Amino acid sequence: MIFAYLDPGTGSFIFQMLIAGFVGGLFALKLFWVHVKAFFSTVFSKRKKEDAPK
Amino acid sequence: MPQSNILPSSFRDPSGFLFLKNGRLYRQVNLCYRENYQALMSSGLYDILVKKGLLVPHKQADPSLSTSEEAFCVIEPRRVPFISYPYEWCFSQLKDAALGTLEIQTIAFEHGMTLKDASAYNIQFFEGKAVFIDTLSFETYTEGQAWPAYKQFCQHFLAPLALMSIRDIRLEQLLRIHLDGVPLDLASKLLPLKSWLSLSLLMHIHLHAKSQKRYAGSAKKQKKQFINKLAFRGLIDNLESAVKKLTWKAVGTEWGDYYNNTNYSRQAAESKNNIIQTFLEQVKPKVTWDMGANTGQYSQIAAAIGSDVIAFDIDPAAVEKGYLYTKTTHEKCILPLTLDLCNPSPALGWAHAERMSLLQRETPDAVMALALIHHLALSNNLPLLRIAEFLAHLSLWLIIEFVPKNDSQVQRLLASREDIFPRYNPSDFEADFSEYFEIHSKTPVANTERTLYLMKRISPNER
Repeated sequence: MIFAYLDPGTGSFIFQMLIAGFVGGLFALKLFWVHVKAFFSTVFSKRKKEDAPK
Repeated sequence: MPQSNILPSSFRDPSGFLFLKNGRLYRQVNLCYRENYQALMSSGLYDILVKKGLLVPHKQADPSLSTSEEAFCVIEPRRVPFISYPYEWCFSQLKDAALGTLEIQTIAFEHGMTLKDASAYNIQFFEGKAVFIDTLSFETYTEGQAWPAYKQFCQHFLAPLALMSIRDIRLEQLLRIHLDGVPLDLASKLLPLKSWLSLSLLMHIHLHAKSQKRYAGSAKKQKKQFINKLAFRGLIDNLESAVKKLTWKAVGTEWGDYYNNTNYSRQAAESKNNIIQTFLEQVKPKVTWDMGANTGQYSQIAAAIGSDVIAFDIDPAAVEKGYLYTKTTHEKCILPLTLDLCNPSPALGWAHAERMSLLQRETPDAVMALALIHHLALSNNLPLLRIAEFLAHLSLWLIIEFVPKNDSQVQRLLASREDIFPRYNPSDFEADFSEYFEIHSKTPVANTERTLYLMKRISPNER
């Protein structure tokens, strides 16, 4: 009956702490990339507007 | 309150429970959940989730409905007409339920709250959309805490979706055995080696399972967790990308291409549609069950006359196609579900009472059994009388198609087996069904050997 005392939940909590830095880092990179894309898309859309015949 | 009024699906949660009173459904919120409930209502989270159609709305009810000392208040949630379970959903329904849960978690986090569980049973399909039904699943987020629902999310959603997508669609039935989701060590064993190359599956299933095994026996109280907000959001974001990447194309199963492969001419199909429509207009059912619905072609006729339809089929590909159709057409009245009629969903869980059997749920006003009888009687050796008895148990009205032995589809069924079915003929069919039903109308389908019947159940005293 030893299995009756095993709780996979404990491992799930510890595992979250183990991967926290990694998933946090990935997410930070993703947010950074979204900002970079947003920055360039605003720069280019501005330029397009400026280039457009008046 | 009499224990018999409390719904057994909700007794595990100390925050409150569902109960029935005078035929109406209420949820008691316990004192121990007061602060979380007030935070849900006052933070704006409830309003935004209801506005987005993600959470079932509720009204405040008379607190005196509960006599329990533990009660803080009583609410009356909007009732979901038909309760379905994850082992009856197709791939995209389970995926939409997973993504809905994560969307709710993300919005909750923006309001300083989090989900304390992520059970697939907290989701129901209502008017074509995955809706969260457990108002008591929210708790206030404390900086540094881990996501308490992480394990459950992986077991209820990520593991079965990965198994269905990468290994075999039928593995969804593991959810019928494991009511708290597929154990991660089992999922890890069943997934193919290539799943180790997917970063999210490697992390959330394979390594997660190993971590559970490694720390399972540790009886020590864990040190205070610390997971910063960025990591918390990162975890949810990563799970969302993992779920989004899992796909399944509805091909290669038995019935997915049925309508491209039938013996109907255009004229026959039109005739069948017209007869079904005429029958349905006579009956005007509020709720129809289309048994063996395939992708739900005939369910659409019932929906068009204003009936709510549950379109059951045994084939996951047909149900998947039906569900994707209802999504793209915004069809709110049809709910496609997977069901093996020869082995329908049983009552499951503690005391056989946590999850209802098919027959314990709200039964319909009409049942359609179109091009089904030969599969039951010939492929599954079910006597006609037994089929009639079961269908009479389901509903008052029955629209049934008899497909005789000289039909080409039946010929295909009998091609590889001995014909041991002398009673499978129109007159014995009518005789056996007349034991339970009165035949109201009988119309042959043009250009086929088939006949459609409209039957009404005879009340047991008149039998």
